[in-house]
Amino acid sequence: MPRSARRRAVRKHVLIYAGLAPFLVLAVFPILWMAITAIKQEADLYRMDVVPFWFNLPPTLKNFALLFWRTSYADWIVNTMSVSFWVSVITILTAVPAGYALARLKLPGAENLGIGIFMTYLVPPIILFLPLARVVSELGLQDSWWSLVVVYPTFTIPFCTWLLMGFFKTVPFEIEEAAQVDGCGQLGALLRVVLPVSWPGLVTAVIFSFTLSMQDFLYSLAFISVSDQKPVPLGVATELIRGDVYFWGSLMAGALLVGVPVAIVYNLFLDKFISGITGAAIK
Amino acid sequence: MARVTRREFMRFSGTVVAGASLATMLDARQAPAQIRGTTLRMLKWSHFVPAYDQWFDKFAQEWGEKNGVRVLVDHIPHLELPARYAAEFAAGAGHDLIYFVGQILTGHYYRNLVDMTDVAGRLAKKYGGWMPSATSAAQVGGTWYGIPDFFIAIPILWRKDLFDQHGLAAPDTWEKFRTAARTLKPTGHPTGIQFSHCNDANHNWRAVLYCFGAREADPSGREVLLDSKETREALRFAKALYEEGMTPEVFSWDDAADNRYLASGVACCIHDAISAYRTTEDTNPEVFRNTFVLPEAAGPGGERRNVGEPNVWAIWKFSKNVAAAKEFVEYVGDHQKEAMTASRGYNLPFLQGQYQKPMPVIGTDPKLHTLQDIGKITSFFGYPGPMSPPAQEVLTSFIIPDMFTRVARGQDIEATVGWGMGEIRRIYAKHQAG
Repeated sequence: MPRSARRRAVRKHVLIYAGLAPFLVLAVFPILWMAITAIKQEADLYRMDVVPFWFNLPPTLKNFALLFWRTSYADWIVNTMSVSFWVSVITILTAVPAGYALARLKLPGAENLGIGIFMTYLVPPIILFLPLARVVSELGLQDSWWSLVVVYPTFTIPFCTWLLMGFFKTVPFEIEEAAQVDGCGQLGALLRVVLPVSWPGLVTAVIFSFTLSMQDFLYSLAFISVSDQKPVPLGVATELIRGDVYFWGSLMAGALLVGVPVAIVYNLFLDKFISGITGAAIK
Repeated sequence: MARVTRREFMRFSGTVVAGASLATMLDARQAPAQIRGTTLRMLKWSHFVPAYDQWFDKFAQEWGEKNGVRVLVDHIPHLELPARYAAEFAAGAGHDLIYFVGQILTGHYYRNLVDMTDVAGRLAKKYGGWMPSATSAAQVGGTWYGIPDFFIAIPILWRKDLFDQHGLAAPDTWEKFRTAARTLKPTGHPTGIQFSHCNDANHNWRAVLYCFGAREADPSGREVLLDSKETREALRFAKALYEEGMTPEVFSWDDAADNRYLASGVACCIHDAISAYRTTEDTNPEVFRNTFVLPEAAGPGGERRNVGEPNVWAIWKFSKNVAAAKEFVEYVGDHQKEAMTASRGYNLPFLQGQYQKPMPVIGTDPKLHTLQDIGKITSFFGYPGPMSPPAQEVLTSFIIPDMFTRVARGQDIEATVGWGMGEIRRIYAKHQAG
């Protein structure tokens, strides 16, 4: 490569990274702060005469010890993962046929029905939790994480149906017709042809339902008060905040332990996630 | 010396033995047999002293074992309790025994709460009656729909070393508090009181209002009295206190911020529960050594009025175990001394007979012993009216902290009072119409 072209390429990369750097700092700083706080001594957190971005007293694992030995954190993680898993399964089993039917079967009013389904996603939980409390109580699921498996699909299914509807519209009709010519029925074409090519959309739907389930606070607060049944967001917020005393180190440790693995898994599927989102957005 | 016959001796000793046995039985008060084999579920807040919750859970278990009741205790932060209660109310199912703190919802839910007048009466008889302000937290129309458990005092915490260095007097009046803040702010030690939407802002600015002689509502709780000269004086004072002795960070403070301010060694004085004192004790021994406590600062007319945080037990009507819940609440009332010890002096009783000095923890701590009399100057929101549903809504709408914030940020006092009164009257009218 000639010298001038190399210099241009270097300059271009420097400019790109310089432009990205502020965004990178903004994105990474909270995680860094969380990590530092998680292993800081409490007395170190209260010192305002020193630089707060690093350690002024030796780091400690006490905050993690408090989390694991004095709270039900291990249970909270298992509950969170179990709830998210079951909600994702229910969501996919429901949203795939719903999204497919609305996108491909040329049902009368399908477009409006799709909009209607999406609108239900916009109903805020603060309005829904009161009637849902009655449902949960009637089912005998109060104070059990299974109540969340019943409740969370009320917001994951509408969103994922909408998402998959958009995605299925991008799959060419021709390949489905070709499958039918080869002897597949409607269901066979869906399972053997449409779903395999819609893989990024399915991954996106799973990621969304998984993370939406992990983020909720209000429903879990309203339906669960027993410590070993709580999911992580409820557990850390309800057991590590006492009156006006916050156990900052353990709060940060609790968030870090759940947040970082999820971010890594997210990253592994990043390409699929982006193509899933953009694929659904084309139509 | 008069002779005692054998018959008289037998009669006398028999009476003594029977009396002693009865006293022992009453003291050990056995719960009714009908509660044996039942389950009692209760929901409390997460107390700021973790050891208190551990003590309480053990205490409840032991009571359960003694009475053959399976006891389940759940804890969540006080700010999250109302949402949970709304869900339980909607479902018509949930905990047997519930707990109000921060937001006292007795007036809101009383139609769905069990009448606990019998328990209140027995406790009052045993412990010399309730503090007058207790009724405000737990009664509606003369009926006890809740039983006050304890209240949290919000005193003044001040740094004696800093005050001494500058020849400042202890902040036992708001004027001295302001002078200290004005003097110490330039040395890097301002004061701080929340101008924001948090519990502490509601307590602290109400304390200033009441100490300046302002009143929130009349004793019946029907008429709003805030449109007064005293309210304007309090607002004027707060603006000066902010400008002379605080930094703008107070506009973004939460309940924990003043704890951090004191524990970090920055604050010269704050107005907060002794959780800040305990946090400092645990994290900064040097600052703690120099931190002293005063029950309340006096206003210009000499009035001292502390605005406490009440904690109240209540029982849902849909509870499956009303009998056990009542028994347990009474048992808690009988053990307030242990509760005070377990809470490191944080819990203060509502029963007058439980103020015998020295009180546990605060009676033996030379810096806290003045809190033994704080019950005499403690009031709650809505003062001198009751903690009625409209007073509760005014509290949760943060209208009073907002009035102080508006003035501190430079808005005209008259316009602010006009705005505040408009909001408050609207709330009262809504409740009176409903």
